[in-house]
Amino acid sequence: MSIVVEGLHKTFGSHHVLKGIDFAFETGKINMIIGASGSGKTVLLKCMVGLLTPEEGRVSFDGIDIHRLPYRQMRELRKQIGMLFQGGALFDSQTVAENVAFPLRMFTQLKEREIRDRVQLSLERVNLPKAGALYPGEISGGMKKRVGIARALVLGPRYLFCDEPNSGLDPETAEVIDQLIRRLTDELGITTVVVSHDMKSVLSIGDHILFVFQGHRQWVGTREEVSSAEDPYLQKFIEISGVIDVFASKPSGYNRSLPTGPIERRR
Amino acid sequence: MVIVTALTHIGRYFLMLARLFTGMEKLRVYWMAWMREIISMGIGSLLIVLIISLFVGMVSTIQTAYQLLTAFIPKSAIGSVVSATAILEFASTVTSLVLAGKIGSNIASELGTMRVSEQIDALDVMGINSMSYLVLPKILAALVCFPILTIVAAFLMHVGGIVAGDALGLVTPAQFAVGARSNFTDFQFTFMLIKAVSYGFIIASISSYYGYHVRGGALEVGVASTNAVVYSCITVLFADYLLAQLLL
Repeated sequence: MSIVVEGLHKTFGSHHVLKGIDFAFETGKINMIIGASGSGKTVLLKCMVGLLTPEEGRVSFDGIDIHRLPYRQMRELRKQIGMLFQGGALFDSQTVAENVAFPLRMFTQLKEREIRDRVQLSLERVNLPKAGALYPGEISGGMKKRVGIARALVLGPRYLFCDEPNSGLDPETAEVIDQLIRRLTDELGITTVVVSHDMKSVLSIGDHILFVFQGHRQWVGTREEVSSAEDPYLQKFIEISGVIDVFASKPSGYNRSLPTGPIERRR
Repeated sequence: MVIVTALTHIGRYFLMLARLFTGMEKLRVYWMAWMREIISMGIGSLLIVLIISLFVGMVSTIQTAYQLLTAFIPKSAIGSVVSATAILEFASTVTSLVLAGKIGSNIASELGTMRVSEQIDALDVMGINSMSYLVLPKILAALVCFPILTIVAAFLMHVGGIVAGDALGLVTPAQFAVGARSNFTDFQFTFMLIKAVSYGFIIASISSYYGYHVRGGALEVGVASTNAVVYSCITVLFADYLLAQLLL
């Protein structure tokens, strides 16, 4: 199954946010949507998961336009989608385990014991095996993101959408989240779409990159092609992001210089 | 412009009510949420209802005695007036106005916070009808809690009236009871319950509307909470007038 965005337009009042974006997301890869704040990348992501409806254009999952799907079919499709929100969006009144169990309780007929096992497995997958009894208010921002990922993946979706997974995190924790997304994408064979303005993250885990500038598709390429991109807006974006030294000191193989490897070893 | 805005709100409010029943989740889910809301709304509001009702009953008795006590009017008239006023008006309306402040602002701020922290979006992305899942149990809980709280309030207003009347030597408990019974009809009780159910629906649905549709951040959640209380109170008073004119 593939995700394709065609001629997407979205406006809020007189503000034209998306101005005809086209992009084909690669299946089984980490697709990154990058751009400055206000460029429209989160709006694009929300249009892709059906939280916003575009005025023009289509978002198709395996050729089916999701914005024309009847409610029941859309609901079924959404079970194939997991999403990590910027702040985690965990339910405050529920424990971590209850948050992760929530989709299972809503959409499956599993017994309590099976739900507990699935929840524990999901929490172990994101390296939080003992956090189940804690409430969202008792855990750190990085842990909230990991619980958010566990909840997003507990039903075994085919797609994972992440909205600014690194925002508000220190560099070390941000890298942990990056590598977790990388590992889960590879292990589970899912298609991942990540919205980010963090170039370190892009260079670390991005397979296929879409650079959005003022609501337009400004540049498309791979992680390896970013360094040689001739688009002036992208060059400026990279320069401002502060990773320009990476290019200057190591023009080739810069991505290998970034820390990778098992999460446990770095923590 | 004001009219357009008002009509937009009214339209969105009725769309919200329609969406509560489309694409509903499993009944078990609503049952659990309904129970949680009943405990939160009902038990959580008992203390404030108790305090206010006792004082309203006491003050009503003192003021009625102040206005009615002459040699030509029997003391049991105090019981008659206080009881009728409590059942027909104060128990339902005063209690609901107080609950609009407590429950209404609670609902609006809870849903508003869920909206700005993207918890409602998370439900939508999962394929859950967030409006039905979050709002319907609150409205159904209000339909149960408001009549019960109103009955408790009416009882406590009588208790307050009897205690104050006896303590101040205005009317004995026996005289109060005679007066209260003299004018009481079953319809007064039914009227009180009709009002309580109507007010419960108004407060829960209007507060949910303002909370669910918050856009922005913490500031807007505060504004939504205020709007929920203000418009709930205005609508309750309008409904009070309408029901009195239609049913009495």
